[in-house]
Amino acid sequence: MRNVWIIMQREIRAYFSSMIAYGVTAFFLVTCGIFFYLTLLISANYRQPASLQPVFHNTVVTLLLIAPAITMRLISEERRSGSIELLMTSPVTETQVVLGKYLGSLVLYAAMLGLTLQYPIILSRLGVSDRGPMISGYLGMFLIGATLLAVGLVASVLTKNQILAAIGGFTATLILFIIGWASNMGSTSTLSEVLRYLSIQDHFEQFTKGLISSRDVIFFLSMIGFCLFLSVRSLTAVKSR
Amino acid sequence: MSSRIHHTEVSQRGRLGIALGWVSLALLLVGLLIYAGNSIVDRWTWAILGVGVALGIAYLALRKDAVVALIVHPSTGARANNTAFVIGVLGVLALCNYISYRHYRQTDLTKNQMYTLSPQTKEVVKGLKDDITITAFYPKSGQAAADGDRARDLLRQYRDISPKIKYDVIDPLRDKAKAEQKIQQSGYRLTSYPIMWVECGTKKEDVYQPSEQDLTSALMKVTRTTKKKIYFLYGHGEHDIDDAQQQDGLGLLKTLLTDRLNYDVSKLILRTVGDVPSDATLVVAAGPADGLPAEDQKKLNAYLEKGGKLLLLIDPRTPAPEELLKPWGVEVGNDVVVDPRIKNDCVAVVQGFEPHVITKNLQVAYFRFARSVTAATSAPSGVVTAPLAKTPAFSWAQTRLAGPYQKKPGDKDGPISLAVAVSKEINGAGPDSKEPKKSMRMVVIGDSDFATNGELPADDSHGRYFLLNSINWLTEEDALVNIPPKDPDSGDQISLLDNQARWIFIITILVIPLGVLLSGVALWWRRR
Repeated sequence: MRNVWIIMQREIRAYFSSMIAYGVTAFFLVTCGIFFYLTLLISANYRQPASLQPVFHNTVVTLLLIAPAITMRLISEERRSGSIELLMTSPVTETQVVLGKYLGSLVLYAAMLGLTLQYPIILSRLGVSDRGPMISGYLGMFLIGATLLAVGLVASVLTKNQILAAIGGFTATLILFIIGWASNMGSTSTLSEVLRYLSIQDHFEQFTKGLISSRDVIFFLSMIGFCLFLSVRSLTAVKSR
Repeated sequence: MSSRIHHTEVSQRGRLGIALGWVSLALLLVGLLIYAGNSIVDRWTWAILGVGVALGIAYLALRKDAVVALIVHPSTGARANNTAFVIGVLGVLALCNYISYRHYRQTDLTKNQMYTLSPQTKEVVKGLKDDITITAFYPKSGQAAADGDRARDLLRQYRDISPKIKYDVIDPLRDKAKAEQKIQQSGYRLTSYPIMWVECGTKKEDVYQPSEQDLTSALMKVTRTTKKKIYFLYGHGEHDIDDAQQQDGLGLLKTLLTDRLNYDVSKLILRTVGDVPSDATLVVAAGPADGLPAEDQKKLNAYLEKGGKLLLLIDPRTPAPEELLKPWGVEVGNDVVVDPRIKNDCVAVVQGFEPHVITKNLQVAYFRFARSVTAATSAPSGVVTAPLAKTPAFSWAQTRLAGPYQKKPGDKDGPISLAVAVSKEINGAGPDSKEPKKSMRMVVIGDSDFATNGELPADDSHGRYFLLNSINWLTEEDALVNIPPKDPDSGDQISLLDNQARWIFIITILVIPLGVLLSGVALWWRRR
């Protein structure tokens, strides 16, 4: 675990000493802020209940871009520069490398998400008292972000080129988003039920409503676990070459 | 399909084989895509797949040596092991997810326990004495799939409370045989879906929305032996319950009472009868614009004194029925109530109802052109009067019924009461009497328009629930009162002043993101 901790700290330092993390975070906050501001205006002007649900739904779409941007350099940069050989010859396992790098990206994402806690504070000051959906919504945001970061990490392991890693990560996350639509196209087969279960948005929807269900949590944890497992296997294959 | 393994020059034959291999892959992919799009395999799809397979066989024949070399190569074994391991892990995860999909626990964090059954529903379901069979027809894909999931969740919760409930969810598209078997067994026709059939013995109720309130209402309807009777007064200028077309009719309300709440609803012309009929569970006077004659008020009082129930919806300009209301400690003002937030109109806004069993969980309702209804300062003996709905402090009541609706000196300041509930125990034969105790109940609301076809709001409105809850309380259907409106769109409303909106914009979109960016710039500058 010590190696994981050291690698994680190294990644966090790398993120916060580069302009990219600040730029991505600022972009994330601006887009979330716009969604939040518009949500408040619509709620106030059209006498609709105010909640963070529309903000969560819209913010998740920005993660399509944000997650690959965070993860694209994780492994691919090291492969390109050759420092991956140095890392692999040191007494760390592939699992420790993957976990450490993943946790580093997760800390950055958590910090970005933390900066959006201003929204529930503002809502509470405006008189919104139903905090349950806010809490479950943030849990859902954390889990879905963690899942997309894990998917992006797999893409980063598979290529030396950061751009390809970003494109691959973006494509994979996009497929996960739209997979649920395929199940609604009138097909009634078992395949469409499976596709519907794989729809990341369907699982996320429950959190935004105020529900924390064990099957949604297990889904996200399974996705994260499988992606990290794939990353470890891929990195092992890279090492053996 | 490449020559990577041997790194040798490929012959012309080999190159042809490679080309055929790629074409074979492309054709197989196209064939699968066509099948995925059409869901059937027609002869053209078969032809494409057949040609793809044939070309694949041709590839294998032309590149036999390369393929064999690939298979026996040491790294192929390792790759195969790796692949098998990955598939194994995927299989385990899929199994875990399948089990968690079938058996799961859920926590509802919403303020109104939106996705948890109410105590009232639990009481109704626990009290079931007869077996109930519920058949839900919901497709598992398409637009109704989400409703189907909701129906399954609901039915599972009901079944968990009482073993008397048995249910089945059938996909009428996928499980045609099962759907037809059920239809034949039941003898009913499936005219449309999605739908739930709630059956008890020979009685059946249809439920179209997978909501707790509709399902519990259906359970009560199929298990109840008699229907309660509601009489709507007619002949004094009231809204017509048989009118479902005009804006000021009450046809929609009648439909709700008969179809959803299983009441028997009729008109009553008091002048033609000596007394209020003995089978009346409730009498409703919905906007008697001409006022109630003294004789009719006496009949209503006599009915109330015997433990009757009355709902009086009385608009401004209607002469106040003093003889009817005074014995029960209720006063109606000769005024209209105005909320300054609604410009150029006379609308009273109730924002937070008074605590009462009728108004629990209700939040906001609008009453256009309403008058004040208050409890008298000294209530008659034994009468319990409770306010139900009051407007905010910045509202007022004015006697200028025709407007303008602007506050002037002399107007009564808010909060203004718009509705009261009255009850009184009616003395029976004595404490040892075996007759059940009776109580009179009355609800008086200073508006009738909110109950009409034009203004009775949509399914999810709290004004509608206020009306229906009042009726259920009056008819002593306490189990139906306060099945909270489980409306996903209900919630806290906000009002935003201009400067508040500006500050929120500045902080959330400018200050904080810019602060983050400047932190990055500062760090970069320092590292230079």
